[in-house]
Amino acid sequence: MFPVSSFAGSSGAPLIERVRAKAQPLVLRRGRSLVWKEAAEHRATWESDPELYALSSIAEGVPVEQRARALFVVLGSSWANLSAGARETVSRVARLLLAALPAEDVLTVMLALRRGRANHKHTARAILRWLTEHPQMYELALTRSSALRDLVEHAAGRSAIRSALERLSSAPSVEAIELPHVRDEARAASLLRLVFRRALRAGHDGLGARDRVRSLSGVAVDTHLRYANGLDAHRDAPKTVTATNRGDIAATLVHLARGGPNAELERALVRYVDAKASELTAFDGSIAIVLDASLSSRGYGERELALFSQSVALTLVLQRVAARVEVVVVGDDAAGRMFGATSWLPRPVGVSDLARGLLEAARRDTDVIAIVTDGYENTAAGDLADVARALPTVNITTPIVVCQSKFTAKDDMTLRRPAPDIAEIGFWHEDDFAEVLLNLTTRTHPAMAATSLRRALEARLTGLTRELEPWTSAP
Amino acid sequence: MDLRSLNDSVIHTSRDRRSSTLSPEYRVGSPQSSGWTRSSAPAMTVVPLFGPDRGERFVPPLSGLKLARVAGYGNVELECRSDREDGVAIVPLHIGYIQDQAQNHALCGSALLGVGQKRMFNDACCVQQGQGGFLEGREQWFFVLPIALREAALQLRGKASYGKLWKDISALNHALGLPARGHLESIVCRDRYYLGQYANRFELCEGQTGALFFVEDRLVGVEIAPNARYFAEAWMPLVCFSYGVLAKSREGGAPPVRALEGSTLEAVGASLAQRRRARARALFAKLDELATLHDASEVLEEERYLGLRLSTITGPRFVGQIVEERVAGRKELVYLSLFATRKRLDEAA
Repeated sequence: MFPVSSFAGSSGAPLIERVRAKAQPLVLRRGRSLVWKEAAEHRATWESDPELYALSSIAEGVPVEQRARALFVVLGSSWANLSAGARETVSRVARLLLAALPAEDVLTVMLALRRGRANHKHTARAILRWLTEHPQMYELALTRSSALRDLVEHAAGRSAIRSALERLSSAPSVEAIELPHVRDEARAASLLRLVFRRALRAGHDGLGARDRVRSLSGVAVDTHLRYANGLDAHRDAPKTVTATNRGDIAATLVHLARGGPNAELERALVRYVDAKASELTAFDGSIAIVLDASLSSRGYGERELALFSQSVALTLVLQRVAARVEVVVVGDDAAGRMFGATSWLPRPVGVSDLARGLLEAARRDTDVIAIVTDGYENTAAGDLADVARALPTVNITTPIVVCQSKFTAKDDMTLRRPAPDIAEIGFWHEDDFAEVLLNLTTRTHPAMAATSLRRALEARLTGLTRELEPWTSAP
Repeated sequence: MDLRSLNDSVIHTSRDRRSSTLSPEYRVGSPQSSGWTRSSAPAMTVVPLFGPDRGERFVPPLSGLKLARVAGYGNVELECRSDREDGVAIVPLHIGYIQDQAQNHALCGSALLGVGQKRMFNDACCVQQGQGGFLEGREQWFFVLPIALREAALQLRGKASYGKLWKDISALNHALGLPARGHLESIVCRDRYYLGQYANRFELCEGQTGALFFVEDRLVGVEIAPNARYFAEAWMPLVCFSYGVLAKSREGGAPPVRALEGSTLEAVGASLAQRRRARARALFAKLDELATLHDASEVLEEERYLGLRLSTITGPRFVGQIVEERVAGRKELVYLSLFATRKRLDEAA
């Protein structure tokens, strides 16, 4: 089973962190095969779990450069030993990447595959279908003729291309050409006429190629943009963030905290929590949540109750999503107030003794510990870091994540990092909950982490494929 | 007037004057600390105090005291507003006001105002030497002078000269690496975002009526209010501006790496608890520094209001003001703002 907690030979960071690491663009140097620093790790990861490797490339926040690397590895590797299910998944991921990556990056990958003499059927299929089905095939053909010539010859084979050109040359009216793997024979013919226009010479100037080149000069090949934006949808933050426009769950909790019992709000709270939980991937493991319900989490002024309500919202949602959740309340109101059977709200009062909270959470024997806090520790400063450092010495290796409750994504956290050596993730809106959950679940032991990640990414792949409908049938 | 009431009410001093403890009337909370100095010592520590509630007639300073008007430089009028007929306001020592469209001022001494009373303070310090540039918004808010300025302000009470604190403000700005001008808003407004976070970093406890302030583990202030509501409203101006400015100047270091001993989780927890107890004991032992307050200090009565007495304490290491009330033949402490002198602060630096 693939050790999703690390790439083979890497620092041990979870896979999700590795694929999101910044990387240089791929550069194919003249006469050389494609190389990059972590190439061996990528290959080892693919060998270990091809499906999860492919899926990881479509996680949110993966840079274009990492997705290009993944496409190269996926298309350049053998699929012979993949199960039918894995093959289907890898194909769907490749299709999405082919649609979402900038054309220049796809071409670099394909040229690198050619340079490395990758000749798998799925490689050839990907190249030929991508080229012939591309919505801006004309632009590509006219501005990158040389590269496309090399690619079609590599993918279809020189003799097949030679035969096709002979046919086109001898019968100028031919409008369709059969090529291996290609579905649209008419576009195949157009493509060949364009990229081999010189070879096809006078009388057939590639369907007015000179004029087309002029008219298309400066036109950007940007078909990928819609798909790229779909892969990493940017949430529009409200112009002015308030305590009640950061998600329905938190807004409802703010109103409940401000006022007394309210049946309508309580029913709405349950509905909103259920709705958010249903969007997330279920987690079979257990989470201990240290919930900072101290006075500082209450805040004041325009931010009053904002951070605290979001912390409670996250706790309520995690309680629905994980198989077991143990909540340790830091503050003076551990009992809180119950709403219905499952929702509950403590008062934010008392001091921030996160260290004691962690000690108690460590006793609960869960798969991961989440410290949900605004980040201010005063009882006493440094104690949380000391306890976290001491736990492995008493054989407690439960992963710990500090989940930082923020007012907006741009909060200055300089004074709000009680234990910088512990992994951290911030959240300010309930749309961030999926990412928090992913961060928690992928830090658990390898088998559980791999299952969680796979499940989450498969759900994402299904949703994206349905929503975006990639234009290519490749590979 | 002497300090026996202070000693009896709050601090019990041993006969040999070598040690002090808090009066049993006062409970203490767990020390809270935040921030580290460059030598990895705690930058600021606050010990919450829970004392007797002297009654709701003592109106809180934010909601019960209003800045009625500023009548030219150095002249600030305050008004006491309350629904209670027996309401009385104790003006927090060294309260200052930041407001839009007017010069900013701070007061040099505390005062007692009955409900409905207005009083013009002609000895107010203008804390803004020239035109200000950092005022934001129309909201009026108050602060308490940074502790480094408080001894000077106290000594200058009664002197009607609105620029009297500029030299000290300029020196403080210079010490903090800012342009040496008599503009206090260089600190309290420009650093307001950072200083404001002290109210999050140190959490007010329910029922809290006072606090001991330590910077680099040296006692620098004792603040006690007549009731929890008063202290809650005075809390932010004290922790953020009066003591926070000093704490900020000492911060900038990294936390020490400290091991917690133990071979089991329970043992680690016990090790943590033991460390905390030892630290609390060490902090409370600092109260011994108040042991000689009685002998070495001068006490000067400033004002009376019914049974209330406002006095100024001047000692070699601590100065401040106190309000006491005679109840059933004994003196009760109602309000105390006692803080380190410049000499003591400079020793600690």
